[in-house]
Amino acid sequence: MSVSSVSARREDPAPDTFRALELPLLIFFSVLVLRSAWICDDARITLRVVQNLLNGDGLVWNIGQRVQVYTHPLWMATLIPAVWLTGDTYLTPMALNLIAAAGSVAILLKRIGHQGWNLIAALVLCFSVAFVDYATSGLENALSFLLLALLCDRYFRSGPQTTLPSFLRTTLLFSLILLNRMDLLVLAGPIWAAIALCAVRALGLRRTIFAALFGMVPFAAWIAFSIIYYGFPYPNSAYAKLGHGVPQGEITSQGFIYLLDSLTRDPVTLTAILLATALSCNARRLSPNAPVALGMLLYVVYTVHVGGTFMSGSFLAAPLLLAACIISRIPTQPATPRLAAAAALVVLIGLAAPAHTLSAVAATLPEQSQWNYLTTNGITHERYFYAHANGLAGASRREIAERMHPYRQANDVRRVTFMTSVGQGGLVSGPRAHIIDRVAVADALLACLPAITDPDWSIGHWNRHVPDGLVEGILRRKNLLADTRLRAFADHLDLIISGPIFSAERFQAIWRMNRGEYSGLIDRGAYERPSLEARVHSKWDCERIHVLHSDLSNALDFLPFQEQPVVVYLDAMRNDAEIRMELTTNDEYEVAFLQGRDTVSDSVHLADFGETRTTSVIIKVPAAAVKAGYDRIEIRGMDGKRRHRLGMVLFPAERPADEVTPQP
Amino acid sequence: MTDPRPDNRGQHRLLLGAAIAFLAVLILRTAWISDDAQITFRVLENFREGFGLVWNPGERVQVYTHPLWMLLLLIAQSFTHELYLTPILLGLLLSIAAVAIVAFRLGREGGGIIAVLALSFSSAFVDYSTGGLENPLSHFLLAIYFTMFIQHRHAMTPRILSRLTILVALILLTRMDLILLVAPAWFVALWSCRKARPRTVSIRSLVPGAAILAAWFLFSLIYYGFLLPNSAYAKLGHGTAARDLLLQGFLYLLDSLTFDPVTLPFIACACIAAITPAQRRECAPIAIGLLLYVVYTLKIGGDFMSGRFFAAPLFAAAIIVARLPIPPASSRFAAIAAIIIVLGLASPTPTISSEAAHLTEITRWDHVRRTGIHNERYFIAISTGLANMTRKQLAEAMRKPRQPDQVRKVICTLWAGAPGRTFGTVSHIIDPVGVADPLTARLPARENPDWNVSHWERVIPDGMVETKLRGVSLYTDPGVAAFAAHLDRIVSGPLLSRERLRSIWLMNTGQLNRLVSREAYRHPSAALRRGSDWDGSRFHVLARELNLSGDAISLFWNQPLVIYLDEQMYAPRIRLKVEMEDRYTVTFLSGRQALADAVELAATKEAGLEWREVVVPAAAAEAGFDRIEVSGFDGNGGYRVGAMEPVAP
Repeated sequence: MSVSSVSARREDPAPDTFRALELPLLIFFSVLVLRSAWICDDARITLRVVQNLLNGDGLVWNIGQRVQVYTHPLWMATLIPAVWLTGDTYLTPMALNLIAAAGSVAILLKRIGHQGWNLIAALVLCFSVAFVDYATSGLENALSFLLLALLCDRYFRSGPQTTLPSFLRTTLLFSLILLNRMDLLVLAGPIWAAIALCAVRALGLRRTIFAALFGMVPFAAWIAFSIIYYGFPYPNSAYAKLGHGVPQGEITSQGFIYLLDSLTRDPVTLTAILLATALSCNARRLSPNAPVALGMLLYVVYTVHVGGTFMSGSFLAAPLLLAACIISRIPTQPATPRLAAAAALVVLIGLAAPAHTLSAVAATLPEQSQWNYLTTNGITHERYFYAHANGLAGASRREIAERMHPYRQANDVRRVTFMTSVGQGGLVSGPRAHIIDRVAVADALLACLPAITDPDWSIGHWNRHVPDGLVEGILRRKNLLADTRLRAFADHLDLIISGPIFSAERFQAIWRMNRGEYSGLIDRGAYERPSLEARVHSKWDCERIHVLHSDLSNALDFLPFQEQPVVVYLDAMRNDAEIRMELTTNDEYEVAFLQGRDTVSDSVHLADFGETRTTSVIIKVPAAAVKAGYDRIEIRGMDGKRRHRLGMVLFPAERPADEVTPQP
Repeated sequence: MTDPRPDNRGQHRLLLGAAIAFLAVLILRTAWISDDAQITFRVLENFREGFGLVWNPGERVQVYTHPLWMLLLLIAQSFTHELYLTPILLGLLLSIAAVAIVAFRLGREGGGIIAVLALSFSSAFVDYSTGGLENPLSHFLLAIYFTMFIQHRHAMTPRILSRLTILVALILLTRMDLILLVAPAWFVALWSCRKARPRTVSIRSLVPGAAILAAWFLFSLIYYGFLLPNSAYAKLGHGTAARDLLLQGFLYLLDSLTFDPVTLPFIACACIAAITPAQRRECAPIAIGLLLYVVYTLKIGGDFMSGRFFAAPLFAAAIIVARLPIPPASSRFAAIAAIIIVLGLASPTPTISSEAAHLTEITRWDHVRRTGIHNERYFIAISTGLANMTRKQLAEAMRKPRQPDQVRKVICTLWAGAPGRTFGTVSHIIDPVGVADPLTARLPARENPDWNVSHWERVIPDGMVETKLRGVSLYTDPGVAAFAAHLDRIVSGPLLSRERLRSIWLMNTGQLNRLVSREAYRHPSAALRRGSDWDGSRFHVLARELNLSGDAISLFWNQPLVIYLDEQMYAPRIRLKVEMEDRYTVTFLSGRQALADAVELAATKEAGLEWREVVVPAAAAEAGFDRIEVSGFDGNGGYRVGAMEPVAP
């Protein structure tokens, strides 16, 4: 036995030991993910679409408007059968996320990594706040992790012997990655290209192109479906988030702030990405990790280019997985002291995060503390922000049950309402609520408008000006936009998203819309810098719940409301001196009579009647309102925190004879 | 497989000893007494005063779930005459002995140290190594049982089987549900013995263990009238849907993972280790047992005490891990130890933290979570934590709690332990959760979507309070009255009377269940609910007992006192002895109905119990009143109410 072999054996850290640690590490990762399991507000946007589909209303956000509000068709398609089977929109996405994320780490440990370094790579993932946070969240990230891990595995195993079926499977995988999130093209593209290059050498150009085209069929089929069904190839959020009109310089600087935020809140992630980049640089020859590193770096550059997002670290979780793949394949001998030092370093850097992955603080956070996790530059530690509302650990049984079946809390009053956190609100409000999202992720018309010029814009949340007449038009199912050119644009858009799917006019409108032929109809200046009067009108609309008198009267339920007043739109101008209204009687209210948005008299104050029940009250309409006439009635609960309920609003001709006049 | 080199073995034993000493320090730093343990302590105090092993004197109800632990405390208490340090020290000694048995007798190389390390960083194990509950005795018996099983696994004899069976009996007497944990190993032992020996020999060896169990059940059936403790009926007969319980069980698991991240992952790893070919033969039955116990915990919805139900499975997992031959100087050992320490420190309340010693009345509530699962030690530590005690508090804790008064009264309280001891033997305590009351335990819990696990609140049947006060059946529900009559015969009647034995038979065979409408108590009417809430939020006393005692009743928790008169009274004025420096309102009632507005008694500057004259409102004097309700307010909180008498016109 030579000296060198003895020393090698002494350095050999017993592969059995490393193998024995793989499963505990996978369990450790799963425990961390389960402890931090949550559902983010954006995921609930997709879940509302899934609920609407399962209710038979199509893949839509607001019933009657085919708008693709989700960016992850494959994840959405995964959720549909799962939610259909379980009927739950809270634990099911989390469980799917957890399985996919644990699967990606298992692939890294067992298939991609070299023994020893694979443990360090997995430890990096365990201590990355971004990776652990977005291992659940209800978004597509975990599925992306799994698919990317599979792609990396295929890449590292691919060689000159690439066969046609093998390349076909790889391309299918690549296609699924794009279906899961289109911008992963930047991340996975170089890896697929490297595999394709091997395939060209092994199979020839023609066969490779054939396999590539065949493999991309799922993606192409989706694009075709998207154009036919939704009228657009890309999701609505892409138009909303990219068509904001903010100068690129500002966006790029926000992108750098996003990286800085990650370094501050989650030092492991970018450090590991930098380390992986360094490991892939080889001056003498092309490193086998080069395509993986290229994809990872391109994605980081893309992140900076789009200004990152408001969710701290979410865009860096996928590149981190590629970084972990590179780290797991460090070619040097994995000596125990070196590994121990590396592990200690990872743990140390990981614990330097203010809300590190081992912390259980999120499980006990009170509701008020959520604002501590929103920074002035618009980036939030989203999991902590929603920990009280959507975190699994610490939630009570009742909270979990409510989150599992939010549509059960919905009521059947058709109404128009504005929200900022549309996901949670959208699910709880139910299918009869037409929800307008001012940041335009969920609204097709607003997504086509430029964002309001605002030097303090917040990334991912570009507010749009709500055009005059939009709300009443939705309520009355007519195009009532005051801006005549925008009205013409909306007619075309309405044909695309609400018209019969297979009409020739619609396809013509789709063609012209996607070519930008209608863009000239939008006066961008008027919507980027709206007039004071337009701003006041827009604000008035956004701060209220709007309901048609006939819809309220025909509904089986009462309409719940809290801070936002309810505006009842009457069918015609009324001069009745008395109206009857059903309300919860332990609250105080103010009732105002309006013409358009203008009050025509003083408000009527309704005192608290004491007992908690819902009853009819008769309201004497002020003489000025009777004389001038009114076409809207506004009901405002005086205690914003309480849950008020409004039932029917009836005029004397509609009143039953046996009612009692209550005390004013 | 032990280390062959003696010098290494010495070093190894030294390391083990140091690890166990470290664990002992942790247990001592976190020593405390839980509220549930004080339920048993009240029984022991009643026994010492000659009332028998009962909760309320005159009612033979088994409120404790751990007969053997109770017996051990009884013996220890007869030497030490106190019930604070005794259970803590007993818990510490038994826990350390259990760990030492596992580490020194079963531990292979570094496996034993890893096991001790895991136990040291598990909040569940450290917290419930004291607490005054039966966990340390369970661990001690489990250690002996599994040590014997593993050491004789390959050569099982009837003698060993007999000892194992005796141990199983003792474990069951410590906590019945541990049957799931020990049964697989016992069946394996029985099977091995039967394969090697004739059937009769094997069966004969079961007799001593069976006799111990039979003796207890016979005693329980004759003395208490039931085979199982009262809490079993209360905690299993609540009527909550299995699906809801399962969800709560899942939350219990998640709670453990979040706040005590060592325990469940360690159990999972031990289960995986137990099915490896090298360990399968001796450890697989233990792993099956602990898995069964975890599933059972999930099924019953866990407990309100975070991690308590995982302490025993964790201990069993430690036994499995102790058997793993991990060299102490190996990288594997270092890595596993590091993972355990990192996970242990990931707990918001790690075992090495001394935060519990500095909690305040406000911060203790941070440890009560929305899930209904508490870090019970942190919540209770402020009043019973050893590290929180001043010299005076320690002296008071070691004495029998000073009873505030000597007047017999009826009190309803959800937290039975500490109040039960405070109010002493003269008070009859009704526990609406049913743990300490035989009647409410046999009623379904009232429907409540926000139910708290282990605290299933019952409706107090109408007339129950007055029945307990006057000693005659005054239940308004005839079904409940008939049911309570049988129950009363069982828990209060002459032990060996024929009627009692018949009632025991009828009750235990479920023939009396039809008397009570479960639906009426699961979904009580508004009137029943209001009556129950009214009864549950007051102290109740008979006027004649109040007058005879010569003492005054202290009104704790700002609860009003209701004085029950023997007959309708029409006096225009009454005299009432009250603490002078507080203000009171006096309301005259017929049943629970106020007959007139409350009369207010002003405070004086002088302290002390003095007679005050109260003018009865004309409406009340005219209609006649049979109860007087006295509430204290706006004073120093030390409200006291003494005798009451009418003033002749």
